[in-house]
Amino acid sequence: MKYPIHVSGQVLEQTLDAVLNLLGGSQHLLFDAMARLTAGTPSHVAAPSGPTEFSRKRNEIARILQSPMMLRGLEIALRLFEEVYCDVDTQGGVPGYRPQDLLNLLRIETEQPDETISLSKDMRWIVEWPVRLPNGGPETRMSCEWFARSWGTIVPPYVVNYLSSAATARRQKRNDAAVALLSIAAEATLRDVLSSHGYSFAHGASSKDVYAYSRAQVTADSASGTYILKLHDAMPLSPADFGTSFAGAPAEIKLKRVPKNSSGTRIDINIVAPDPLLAHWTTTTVETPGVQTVSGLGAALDIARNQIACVTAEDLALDFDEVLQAIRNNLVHLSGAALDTPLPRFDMLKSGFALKDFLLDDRLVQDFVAAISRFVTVQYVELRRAGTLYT
Amino acid sequence: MNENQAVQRIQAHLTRELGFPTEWIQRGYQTSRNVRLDLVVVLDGRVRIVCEAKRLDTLPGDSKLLPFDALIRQVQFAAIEVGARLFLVSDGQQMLWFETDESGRPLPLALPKTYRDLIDEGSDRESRASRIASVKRTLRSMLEQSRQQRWSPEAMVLVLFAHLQRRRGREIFCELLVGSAASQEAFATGRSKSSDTSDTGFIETLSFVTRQDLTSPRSYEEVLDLLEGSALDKLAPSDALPLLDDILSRYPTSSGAARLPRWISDLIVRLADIGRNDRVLDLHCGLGNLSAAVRLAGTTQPSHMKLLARHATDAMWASVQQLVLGPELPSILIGDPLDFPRQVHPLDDVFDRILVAPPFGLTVRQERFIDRRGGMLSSEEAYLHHALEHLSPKGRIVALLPNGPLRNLGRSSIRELMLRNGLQAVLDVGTFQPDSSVAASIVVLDKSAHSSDALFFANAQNRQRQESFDCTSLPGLPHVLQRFGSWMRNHDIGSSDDLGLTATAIPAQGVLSAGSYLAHQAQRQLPLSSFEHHPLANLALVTKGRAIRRSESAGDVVFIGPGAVRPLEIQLDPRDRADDAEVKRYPDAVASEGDIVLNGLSTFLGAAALIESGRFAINRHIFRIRVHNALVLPEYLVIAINSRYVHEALIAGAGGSVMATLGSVVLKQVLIPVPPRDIQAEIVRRVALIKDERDAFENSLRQKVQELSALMRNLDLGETA
Repeated sequence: MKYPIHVSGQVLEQTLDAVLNLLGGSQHLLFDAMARLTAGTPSHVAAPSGPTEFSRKRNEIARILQSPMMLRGLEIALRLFEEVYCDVDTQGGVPGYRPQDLLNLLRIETEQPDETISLSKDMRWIVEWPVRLPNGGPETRMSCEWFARSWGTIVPPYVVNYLSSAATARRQKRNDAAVALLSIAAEATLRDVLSSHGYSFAHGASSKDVYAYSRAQVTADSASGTYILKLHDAMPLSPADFGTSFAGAPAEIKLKRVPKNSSGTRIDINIVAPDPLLAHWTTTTVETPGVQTVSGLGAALDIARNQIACVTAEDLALDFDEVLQAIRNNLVHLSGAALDTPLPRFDMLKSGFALKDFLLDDRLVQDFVAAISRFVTVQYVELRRAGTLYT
Repeated sequence: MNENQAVQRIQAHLTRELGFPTEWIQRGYQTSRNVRLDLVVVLDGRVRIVCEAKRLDTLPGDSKLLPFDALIRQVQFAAIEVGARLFLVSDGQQMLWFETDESGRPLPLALPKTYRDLIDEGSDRESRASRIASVKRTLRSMLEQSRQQRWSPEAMVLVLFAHLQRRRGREIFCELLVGSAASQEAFATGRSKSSDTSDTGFIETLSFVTRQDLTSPRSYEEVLDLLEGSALDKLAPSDALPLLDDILSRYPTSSGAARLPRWISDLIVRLADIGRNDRVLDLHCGLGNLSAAVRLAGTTQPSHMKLLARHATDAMWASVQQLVLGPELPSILIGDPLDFPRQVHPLDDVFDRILVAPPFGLTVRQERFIDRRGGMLSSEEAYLHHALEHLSPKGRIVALLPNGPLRNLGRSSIRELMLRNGLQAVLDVGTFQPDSSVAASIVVLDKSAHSSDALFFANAQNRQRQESFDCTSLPGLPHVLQRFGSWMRNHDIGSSDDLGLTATAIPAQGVLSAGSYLAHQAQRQLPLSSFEHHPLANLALVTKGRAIRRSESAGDVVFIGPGAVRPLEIQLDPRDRADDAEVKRYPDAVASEGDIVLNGLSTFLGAAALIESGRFAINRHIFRIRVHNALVLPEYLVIAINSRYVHEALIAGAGGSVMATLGSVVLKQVLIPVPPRDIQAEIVRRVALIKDERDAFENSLRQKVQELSALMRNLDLGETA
């Protein structure tokens, strides 16, 4: 189980007790679930034969949870809480409580300050960080879905880390750092999304097909003053077809020298020939197929929005495109004039609106924080659902 | 204005000013990411509008900033998550409507969206699926509320009953439930004046609940409001009843009444062949599934039906089901069904069709049966007696009975009772209840039918375990029903059934369970039927082992227990050891070389193996079969017993309500095909050959596994060659 979340054994034990307390007379649900999910493992906890054994069994489970790593206590705890929720949800609750009350209880603090994990109704674990508006607005939480039993990791650990750091920066009122980190998270997400659709970010990759060489031998007939080209392999058209291809006339070609490296030490011959000659002299075999390449963030956004339509305006408002591009092209590299990059889509708020205005406006930064973390989760959930995330 | 008041204002805005039907609006909607939405408008099973009650004093004064405001965006994200383009934010006074525009930002709308707008957009048509989903959500909310507020077992049905009565124009039950003293007086007065007995017991149950239940009338009021917004009463019965089944399966019932599967109910009703003006009695209505099936069949009116319920809550569940089917209720009496005649007018107590699903396995003491074993009778027999007393001279009884009394030779009185009173058919429905191993059969007694020594037997089991309101949608049952119909009309249905699902036979020794007759008929149809057949008792001496038990310490004598006998093999369990003294107590419980041992219990029931050498004590669950007839080779007989041909007949004859067990009678009577000895010898030779080959392969496999293991260990140590 790979994720950047750590929960202390003590917190897991406290959560276990809270869940048992909520279950009340239905505690057998938890013990039965534990027996089921540990069956056949070294941590097997047999179901108690009656309520008199509950206390002993609770201690047995607590011992496992107290070792989050060594005994896989965290993994077992999460699975146990999922199973219990499923059972409680199936029967519509337990005396005194609804299934939602159990979910509300399953908000677990991690070892990172201000970081909690919680279980959603569709059985995905969400990691959350509080993000407060400085001027006393409603408390908001930045979150992403990081783990589901059926998929494993949802948002990859490297992206979760960007989001976590962005939340910290935002709480410390470092808007520029928060926005920069979120833009990196957004770009990483876009990269994974487009990769899953067959786009390449590899440097030097060709977007056109590269054909195989055809090999030939050249000899000179000094008597007639001509060069003779003899191809080793069969070509689509043979010399017998030459007359047909060019209506009995000779084919005119042009040749020139082309330096192939910067030092000019390697020079190739470039041949400009009429079309029919291609079929006589070269093969149709493709040696390296061309790949769809993405040249930059702007191109990535354009492809994602307009070509394969995997990112919609509902996923990410259109006006954020120019914010992301301004930040990734300028802020991250922090050139002197970067903050003056105009953001024309925001001119409705103020004439000549620039990146520095965006970063100074808490309302807009807050919106950016909420929107990007949501965008990241939505995209990775979609990738996991489609089964096309290969990172 | 607090949040709750603001939500009420929004709801009023939607329903009164914009014309949205109440049942389209749902309060307290929870998204998958645990966000709770105050109100949503649901159409076609999809959320179309999200409504949130919020304080609006922190919103920016400049309206062009609204699309960037955190609060507005929060609601927009929630709306997008549930798939709604429209959302409404309100403090109860100001109603701010938004739509997610093409740029992805919330666009403030100058005018609210009305019900008519949505309809005109053509995006919404209230479909059946949408209505079902809406009612399902409402019932689910009720279930959750019942758990949270620790309702009594009666409360759920009371609420549903009161709600459906209100929708059928009878308000008084709702008023009683929410504690109106005036209503209680009015109800008492009304009852004393009314001769309608159908409400008997309901008022008592209501009083009981209000006395015992900690649930406040306010909670009932809330949940009645919730139901009022649902379309439960507007759903087709075949849509509404499964939703009620879902609730019933998750909600405790105080009476402990079992819920009859819908397909069984439908099958019983089809077997009853109810005519248009037939008077129908449901003698023990339980939760009302059987009487609901009668109504669903549509051949009789509620006024021709009478239901007897042992408990008031059962009666109310039955009423709820009837109210789903229409406003008119049949007569439902509450009390001991066996006391039924005392409660009705003498002219009322004969019926053309009586349906009986009695409680199983109870002993009933009734003064009326004083002449029979001091008034003590099994519940099944008591209910059958009772039904016969109320059956019209040409009437029909269809009863669901456990299989035990049908084949247990010690329980002959119930079988004789049925045979004397026009028994026509026995249809085995197997273990029909989920999570129960009790097998049962439906019996049909008809006083108007032809008299014949032969009976109709059928296998009417639902092997796919799928629930259905139409039993003819289940494999095999249309065929069974068609042949049953022909049989009852005295048509010739032939002696064989190609599907092997039905048989006709004269009951042997009064045994009425269908399994053995079907198995005998199936045997006659198999290829081996050309050979001579003999009951096992004619070929071999069949005896049983004795109560040899495992020693508490490590005993010194190995014995054969029920886990040891597998088809053609004996796998002795090392723990099956007894003390020498224990074994010596039972000198006749021994099997020796040439004997066949057969398992009479549980997993390997009916498996047989030959003792090839030695002598072994045998436990009481093991039969010993000692061949005494030269017609058959013991080596062949053991193969024949394990064959599908004989083994299936044995399994069909097995009894036991908890764990399947085989009786001596069944085993002795099972038919064994006996080919000429040379054919027997050839069968034995071929089986032995395959067994030898299998053993050789097993040895080879074991050897390879050891080699592989050794190789891996060497690689670990880096000692590869």
